Amino acid sequence: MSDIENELRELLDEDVSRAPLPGRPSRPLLRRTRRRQVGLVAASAVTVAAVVVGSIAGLQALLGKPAKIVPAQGPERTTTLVGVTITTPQSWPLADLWPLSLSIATYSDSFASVGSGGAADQTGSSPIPVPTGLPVFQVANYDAGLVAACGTGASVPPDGALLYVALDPDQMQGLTKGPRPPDWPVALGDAPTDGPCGSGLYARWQSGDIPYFAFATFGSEVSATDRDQLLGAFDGMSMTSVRLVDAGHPGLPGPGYVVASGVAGPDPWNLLVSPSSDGGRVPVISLEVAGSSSDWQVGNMTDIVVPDPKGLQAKASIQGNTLFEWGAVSSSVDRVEVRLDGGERFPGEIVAIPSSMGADFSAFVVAMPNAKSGMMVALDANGSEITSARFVWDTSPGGVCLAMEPPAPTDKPPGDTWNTMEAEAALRNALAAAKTFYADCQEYSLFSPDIATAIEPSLAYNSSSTATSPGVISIRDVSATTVLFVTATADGRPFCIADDTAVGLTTYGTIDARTVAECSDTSWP
Amino acid sequence: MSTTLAEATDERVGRLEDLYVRHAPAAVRLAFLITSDRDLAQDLAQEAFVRVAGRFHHLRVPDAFDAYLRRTVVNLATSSLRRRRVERAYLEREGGRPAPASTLPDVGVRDQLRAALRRLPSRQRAAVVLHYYEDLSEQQVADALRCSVPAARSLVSRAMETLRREIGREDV
Repeated sequence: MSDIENELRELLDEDVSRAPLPGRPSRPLLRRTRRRQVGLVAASAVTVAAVVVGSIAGLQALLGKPAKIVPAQGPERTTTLVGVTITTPQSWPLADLWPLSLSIATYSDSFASVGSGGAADQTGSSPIPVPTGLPVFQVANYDAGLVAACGTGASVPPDGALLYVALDPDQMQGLTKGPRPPDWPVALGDAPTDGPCGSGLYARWQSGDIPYFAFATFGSEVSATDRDQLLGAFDGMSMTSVRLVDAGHPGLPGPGYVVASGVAGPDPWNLLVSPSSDGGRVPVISLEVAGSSSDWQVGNMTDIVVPDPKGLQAKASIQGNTLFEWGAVSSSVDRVEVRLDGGERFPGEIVAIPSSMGADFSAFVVAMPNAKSGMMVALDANGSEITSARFVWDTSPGGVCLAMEPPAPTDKPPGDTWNTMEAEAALRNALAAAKTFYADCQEYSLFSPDIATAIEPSLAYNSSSTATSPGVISIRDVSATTVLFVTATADGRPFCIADDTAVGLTTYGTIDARTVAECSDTSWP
Repeated sequence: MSTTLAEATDERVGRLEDLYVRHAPAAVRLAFLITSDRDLAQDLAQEAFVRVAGRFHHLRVPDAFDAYLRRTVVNLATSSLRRRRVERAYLEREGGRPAPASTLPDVGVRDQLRAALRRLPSRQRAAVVLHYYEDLSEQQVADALRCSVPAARSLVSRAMETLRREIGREDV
């Protein structure tokens, strides 16, 4: 250890002796804390109520007309949720219900559970039916909505087939008499039996410390193909031992449809579509990716607006060494692809959103290992480019910073007509881009013309310390805490703007400044 | 035996008090080292406690209360420093006074180091305190600062570089 590190440690130890002693908490402080606890629990309960009631409303709307059966066709999708991996037809709606379980577990000390009389018995006169068990997911050959099909009174259409998988909380808490459930694999019963979810096929098993159960039910007119497909999906499930605390999804807005899934190296990921949690009509697209510690990272795209014909709204997420581009595309987009700066291309997957979500767009996702920078491109059916967006993932030492913005408009003012006002406006916009970068990275060191272009593509940049051209912003004197921008008007008058976060000052000038210190006025004339 | 509502409430308040007594001193020390302000440190530690204990039942890992509290203290402290820096810059600009940091007397190395530490950007200062006072690993510093491990490493490294430069040491 160096001298300065030793001195620093000693200094901190010395300084901390001057820190005040907090003593015992005051009553107002404790009251404030309690109020916050109670407020949050109440807010959770209200949210759960809103989600469940909304889901039930949606279900009732669905029940009002016959559910449309979706044939099992096209590619299959392999999805991992709470330790269960299942492969099902891509066309079958798969609902991730685990966020509902998190909410139930948050606000309720007891919940309905398998083998103990069902939900209605335990929730008494509550108007909100609570699903049986802690639901993980359900998949069906029709859109069963985002409400659990077990314990909430939902029924299966005549030609429907549905599989529901949940955790058994009573077994987890040792409240169930009898032996421990067998380890996976297990088989569903051969013949329907009556159980907490109604008449159907049941199976119980345990994976690690977690007890699961499954319920499969079929309408009286279900096709043999769909029945076999669903039973095959159950038989083909595999289990991964998970800790419930890491089972993930806390960032999701609520239960949602899994519209795409995959793995990035060893880590599974899911693209989901959920109703907006604030009651908005436009659904939310979410990407959740398992991390190395089984903790799930979640990104949400809200307030989606995908106007035709520029029908692309993209977001970027990073997990491990994989870069994800994902988001929404309009109906005019036939396919999407990523074109890396190195020339490599990655085709994206465009997936339909269940019609019950009322979305007028589709979702897309592209997963790329070791990608650094490139263009996200949307193409029409003829292969013509409709729109594109540039991204940069800078993995230089010191930060992992990502910029993703729409492409430059084609009508930006040419430099040879720049007047004072345009030069000043351009510098302000360049500084805004730098501050956007600083907010993410907490330093300017990596801010470069490439990154500036990605964040604010309507401007042209260079890193020249000497040539000042009209219409071009020179980025200079970049350090962890400083950045300087210089440009010139069409008649050659220079303008500068600088920011120094160490002192919290933005300064201005009308000189061809080489350093932040030279650009030192408090405003432009 | 039944428990009355009042008894249940008292019990909860008692648990909160225990929680505070157990965790508040460390939170105050951390806040003080980042802000160098006794009153502000007390305020920040209390606010952090209210925020974290207020959502105690929502914490994904309640056992990691101290980690949640540490992260909240750091966030509040860096936000507070950022606000102060803006206020100070405004006052300097309005009053035309030089920055107080630039007028620090040239005293011993330790005082130079202390002054340089106070001039560091807030997140760098937090990273240094977490690493050298709390003895946290790079991963733990990154968790507390909600950034990647390379970013945390960079914050510490840049801070040390600045400190070395400011006190004129090139010993590493």
